[in-house]
Amino acid sequence: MDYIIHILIIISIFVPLALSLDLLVGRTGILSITHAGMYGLGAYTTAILTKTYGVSFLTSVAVGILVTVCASYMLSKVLSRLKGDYYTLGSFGANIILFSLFMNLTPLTGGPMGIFNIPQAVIFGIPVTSTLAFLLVSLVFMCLVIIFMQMITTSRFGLIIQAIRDDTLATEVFGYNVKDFKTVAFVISASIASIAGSLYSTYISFIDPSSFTLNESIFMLTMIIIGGFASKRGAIFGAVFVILLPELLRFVGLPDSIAAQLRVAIYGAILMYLMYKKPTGVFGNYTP
Amino acid sequence: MKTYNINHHFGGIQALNDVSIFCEEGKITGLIGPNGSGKSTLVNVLTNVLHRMHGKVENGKHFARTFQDAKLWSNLTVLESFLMAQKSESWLYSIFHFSSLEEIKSAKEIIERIELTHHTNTKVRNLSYGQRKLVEIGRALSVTNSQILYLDEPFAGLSDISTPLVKDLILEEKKKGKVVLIIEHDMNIIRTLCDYVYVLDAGKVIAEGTPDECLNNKEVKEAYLGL
Ligand SMILES: Nc1ncnc2c1ncn2[C@@H]1O[C@H](COP(=O)(O)OP(=O)(O)OP(=O)(O)O)[C@@H](O)[C@H]1O
Ligand SMILES: [Mg+2]
Repeated sequence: MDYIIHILIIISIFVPLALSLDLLVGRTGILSITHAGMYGLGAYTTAILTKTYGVSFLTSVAVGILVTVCASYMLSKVLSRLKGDYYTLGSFGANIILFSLFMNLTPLTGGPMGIFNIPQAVIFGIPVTSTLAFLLVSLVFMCLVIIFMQMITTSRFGLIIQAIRDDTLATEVFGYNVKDFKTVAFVISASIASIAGSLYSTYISFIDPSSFTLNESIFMLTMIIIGGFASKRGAIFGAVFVILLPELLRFVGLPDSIAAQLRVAIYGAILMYLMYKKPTGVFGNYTP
Repeated sequence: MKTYNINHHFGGIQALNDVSIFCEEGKITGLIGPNGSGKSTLVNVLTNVLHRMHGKVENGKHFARTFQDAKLWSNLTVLESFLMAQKSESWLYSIFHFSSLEEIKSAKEIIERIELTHHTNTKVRNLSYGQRKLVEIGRALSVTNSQILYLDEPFAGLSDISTPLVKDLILEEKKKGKVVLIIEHDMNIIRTLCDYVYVLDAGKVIAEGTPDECLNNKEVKEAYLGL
């Protein structure tokens, strides 16, 4: 039972990550691969504030958002000078820089050893002690993100970012400040990732830089590629699928050492199959 | 709208060479000339798509335009495209902006006028070439507060059924008192629609006047009409 709850919690953390990444990559057409870095900013802020400074969980989430808003705003300003593939390469670099900060700011982040014994969350005075209670919290978060995404994608903002993706020049000619919209999409996407990070760190109670690598960002990108760009159903499906796949392989009874490699091979095979048969992903309705 | 001595070059090519034109409100001004004479470049400079290198422009802030090669939002529907074109807005406002019935109604009116009612909710990328041309025009007409309308070959690729619809729509814009600048190769359309015409050749204005004056001008006949 605990095992199932664990899987559900991980899913409810990764669905928002996939949805927020899709807002940026699928809808706005900005191929940025630094989502795990933003996720890490939230995770580390919460870990440091709740453990070292005894700050409450919700406050730490708020500070995490603030830190991420500032970082992603500046990052987006820097990256916006780059075009196309160079933008993506720049975002790689950003993830690597964040990773090395987590790795090397040892007094703050514990370096490669990470941070242990991150306190359990206390929300509105209620300690979230059982995993079931935590599941409830993370499900609420996931639902809020889904509702928020529903709202923002059906609002005019949702149309405008897709218009930017489809034809940036035409969107500018029709009077929109394209740069602003791109920055805002970037910041919103990063902030949601940051909240997911805060939840992750209190849940696991231990974090180290390995959860926030470039690979991890690519892992999130895989979710939305499999599920399909610019589709909420796609992002949700992709996250659930990519998380459940290794668990299913475990069920088949493969030893972990083989399953881990098989997992990567299966992702690769699925991606190739999709590129060949259905380049829009399972639910996507847009190909870059 | 007035322009004075506009110059623009791409590398070594002088695409616009001291172009000065004057377009009146409530008049349709035609811009004609051979391929590569700089017509699209002039409109691109006037709409800030290209930065002008020299010269001065006096025009209203609010304009709408079409592109020679349709530059559409291919994953939006026809209705969504027109709604977006109506009025630009800031990101903050747009997050809380859900299209009002009024906005939808006025977008649908234009959709009806260009006879795309059946495709109101079709994604633009699923439309035929001719239908996309219509969307390009309808989108420019959707802009609510435009004072100037630039049309870069709006009739190219339109069916015989659509051509009169678009003509009527352009005439209505004229009646509203807008400045209309239209690039067109079809001399019949120029004759029936335009009040005044500029002829460009190799980036220079070689003639101007009423359509008949221009089309009978000797230099124009040689440079453009090949007569
Ligand atoms: N982006 C560009 N880079 C380099 N040269 C360009 C560019 N755009 C246009 N030109 C050149 O500038 C000149 C004018 O081009 P322009 O597109 O304005 O002509 P046009 O009058 O609109 O022709 P058409 O009737 O074929 O549309 C041409 O010689 C063209 O090759
Ligand atoms: Mg042209």
